[in-house]
Amino acid sequence: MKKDGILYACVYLSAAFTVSILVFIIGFILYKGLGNLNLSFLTNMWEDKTTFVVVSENEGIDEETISEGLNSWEIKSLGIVIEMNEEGNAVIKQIAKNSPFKKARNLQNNLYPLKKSDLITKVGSTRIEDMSLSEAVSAISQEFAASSEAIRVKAVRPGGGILPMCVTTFYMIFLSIGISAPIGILSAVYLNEYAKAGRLLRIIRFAIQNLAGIPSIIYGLFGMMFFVQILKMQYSVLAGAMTIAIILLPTIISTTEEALKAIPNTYRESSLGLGATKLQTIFKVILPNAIQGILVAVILSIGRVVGESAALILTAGTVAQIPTALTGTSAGGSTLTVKLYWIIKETGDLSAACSIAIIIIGIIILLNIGSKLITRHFLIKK
Amino acid sequence: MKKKIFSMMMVLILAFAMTACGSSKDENTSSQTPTEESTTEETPAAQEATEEVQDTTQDLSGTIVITGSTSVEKIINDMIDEFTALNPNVNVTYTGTGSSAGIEDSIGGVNTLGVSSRDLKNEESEAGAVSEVFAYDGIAVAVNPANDVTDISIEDLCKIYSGEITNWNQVGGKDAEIVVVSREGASGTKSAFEELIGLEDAGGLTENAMVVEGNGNVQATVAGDENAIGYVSFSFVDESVKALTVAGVEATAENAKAGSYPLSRPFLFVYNSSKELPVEAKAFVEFALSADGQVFVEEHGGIVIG
Amino acid sequence: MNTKRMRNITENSMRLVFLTCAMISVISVLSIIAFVFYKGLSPFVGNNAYSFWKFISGTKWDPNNEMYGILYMIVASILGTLGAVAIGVPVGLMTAVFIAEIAPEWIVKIVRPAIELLAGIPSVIFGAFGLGVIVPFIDKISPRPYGQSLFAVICVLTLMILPNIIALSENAIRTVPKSYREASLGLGATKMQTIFSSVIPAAKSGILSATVLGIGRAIGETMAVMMIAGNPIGGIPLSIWDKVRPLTTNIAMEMSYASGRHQEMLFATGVILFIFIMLVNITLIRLTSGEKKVE
Repeated sequence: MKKDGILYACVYLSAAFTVSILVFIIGFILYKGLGNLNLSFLTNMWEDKTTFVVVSENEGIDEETISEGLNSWEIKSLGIVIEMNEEGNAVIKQIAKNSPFKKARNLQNNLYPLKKSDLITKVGSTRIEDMSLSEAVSAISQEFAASSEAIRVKAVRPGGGILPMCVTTFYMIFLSIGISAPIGILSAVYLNEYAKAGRLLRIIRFAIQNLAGIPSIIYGLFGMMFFVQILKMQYSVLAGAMTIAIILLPTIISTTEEALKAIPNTYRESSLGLGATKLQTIFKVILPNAIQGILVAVILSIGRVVGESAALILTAGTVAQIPTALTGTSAGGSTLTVKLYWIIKETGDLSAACSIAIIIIGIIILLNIGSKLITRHFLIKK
Repeated sequence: MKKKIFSMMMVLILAFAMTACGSSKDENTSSQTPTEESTTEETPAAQEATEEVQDTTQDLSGTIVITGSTSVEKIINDMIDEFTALNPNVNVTYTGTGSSAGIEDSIGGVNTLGVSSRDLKNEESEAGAVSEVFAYDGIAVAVNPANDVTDISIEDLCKIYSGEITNWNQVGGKDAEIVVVSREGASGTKSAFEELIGLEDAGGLTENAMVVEGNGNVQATVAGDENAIGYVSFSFVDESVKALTVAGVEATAENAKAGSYPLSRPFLFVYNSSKELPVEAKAFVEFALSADGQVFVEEHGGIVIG
Repeated sequence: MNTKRMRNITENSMRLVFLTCAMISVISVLSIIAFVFYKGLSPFVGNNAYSFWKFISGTKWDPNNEMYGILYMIVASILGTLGAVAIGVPVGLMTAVFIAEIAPEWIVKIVRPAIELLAGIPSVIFGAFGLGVIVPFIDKISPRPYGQSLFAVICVLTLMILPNIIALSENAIRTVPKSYREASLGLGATKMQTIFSSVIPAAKSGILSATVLGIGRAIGETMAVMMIAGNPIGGIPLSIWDKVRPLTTNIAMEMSYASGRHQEMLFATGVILFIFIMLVNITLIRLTSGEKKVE
């Protein structure tokens, strides 16, 4: 009886330990990362973006249109309210719809309207740096008063957001699943429905089962040498996606095969017996019955793409940009997880890293709920 | 009929998958041609990097991929920011991979420009890498602010990193084991630092040293460990660590420029001599060397050229 | 007649499509193995070959001086993995027992999703947690003046393999037929006696394969470990407070810039890692196929 008590204690302690770990990790991440989290963190680009814009509608300016506030001054004729940040740059606190800054054009002569929270760092030939509010406002108004021609303004749109990483993560999921899911599912169908049982099939199965456990860094080695260097894709989303697709293949194949195997042979026999061809049997009887297993496999794979870091650092690079091509120089991009690692490595800034971690965990929770819903949906159906 | 549609769909999916594999090859060949084309349209006036020139550089376009040293990150990112503001059609990306990786990429043609925080090695020059200095930088010896040691000699540094000195009391501190923090092998800071203190002749890095990736990690490790010693680029020193004076000379840009601070090294652009530099990349290099680019070197604790 | 021919053509062409897909999968996975082995074994053959014995038994990794010894990394990988399994398996098994046998339904409904979430958290987040919490903590209790150590590696790996072990063991325990429990209880055994002397032995093979999978994950883990291991350039770890450099971090840390012999040596490290994983997997496949035969 005493032994029972000890065992009970062990069991309860272990369970408490496991749960407390999770609580502890999530708590640590929330504690460190929640402070940074706001809307601009989600919607801003990562890097600051400096742009020269030309403000052509200059109607002159007179002193009376300036109204002084406590921390911010308004320049009415320009339709902006200015405040200063710590570096002594002028920040646009408010901007009116009819402000000439809204009609500013960049050097390519495309419309580049300034927005709230953009920084004005230079007007005409005056740098606005290390200034007090009144100095900055008078510098701006003097420049606009001095000439009636178009004025060139250097504006900085602040970064610090994770939008590019979110987009890259999405691309990566879409591409790698788009490549690996069809190939993997069709392969599983071939292995399970067409291939004749025998030694070759056993070897292939063995190889595939084996590969599911290979650490992703080894795939990363291969991807870097083969896709990035030999095929000259450079650090790109496609090189990353293809490497991940290969990582995912064994899992997708074996999970799909499991699902196919679970379908009783009588289904196949009766379908064939009713005169359906093999293809019809596969698409009308077998795949629909295996769809739940396949969907769960795909969702698990998405989770793996989101969490992958080692292989992607070596194949897709760590640039915080939205890729604009599949391969080549402007195709590199880092996913959320890669950026998280990079931030710790380069800046040692745990709180920024934890903010990204919150987003990643959110995605993982959504995926878990998704797979639950699918399972439940099909259970009810049956 | 339905079956046919379905099979068509499957064929389409497969075709998509196939083209996804195939197109990569085509695109990569085509991605190389624009560089050649742009070099033929030589625009001699393209290099005006000065902001005041109004009729500037809008004819420049293309993508510049910069990889290499992580020590130059802050400087290079600001330069890129300014340069792309002036040349909105040029897209510049920078990936901090470590100096050796950047040089390797330049030789292999994976990037447009490499950046390095150490001089080229002989075998790298032989492989076709050429370089252009755009700034100088000092390496600060960082310790935890709680450490009472304030000065260290080059000899002692060498002994610490080779493992001969293992306790702070041997260099005038309290009785505590020294935690030696070094960088990963790709780091230009590492090779420049080891060369400057003559570590190679002293038997190389001690097996006891901790190896971390990136300046940020060194900074964080030293800031979090009272007995740690590490080295970081000047631009990474902040209040969380204390920079030691080396042989009595304070770690400042002025001292490094004057030559009295012994631990300084160059920042380089690296490119492949067998491949002509695209015109936009040339423009970027010239911008970095111009007064406008050098502003950022100074801003981040670097030492301007000339 | 015509429709039948059309049908035959579709049947055959689709068969071909399936076959092609299967071939793409098989070739892509096989070519990786071939590629890694080709690259990894080439430094040991031909003239100017590096002695394989020196590679496998050396205790210093210094590419600048042509020293490529990975014994200390092998030791680090094995010790880290064993340590993680030694802590993770008992704790995981107990938790699985709790979920499957003891806990009331409402607790299971909370605990199980929590464990699934833990399984899905990317390894870099575990690394960040290790760096922010575990390393400073070890720094305080360790006799050495730093926290990056074999012990930190074991801690983080334990956390990472726990959810997998729990999920698989729980599955194995649940598949044990009710009759086992009833028979044992009927003979007068207590609930705990039943669980530990009838149910767990019956679920043995499932628990074993959970363990083996845990080993596989622990030995292959890269990024989390790299952030907390200390990664020295040599020296076999003699205590759990020593810094270590597991095989995986060696590759991840240096691959981006390595070239020539150095790069091939990293592939060789990959080959060693690969062989370890193969051994683990073969054990696993043996175990699971053995299980099926029993059924």
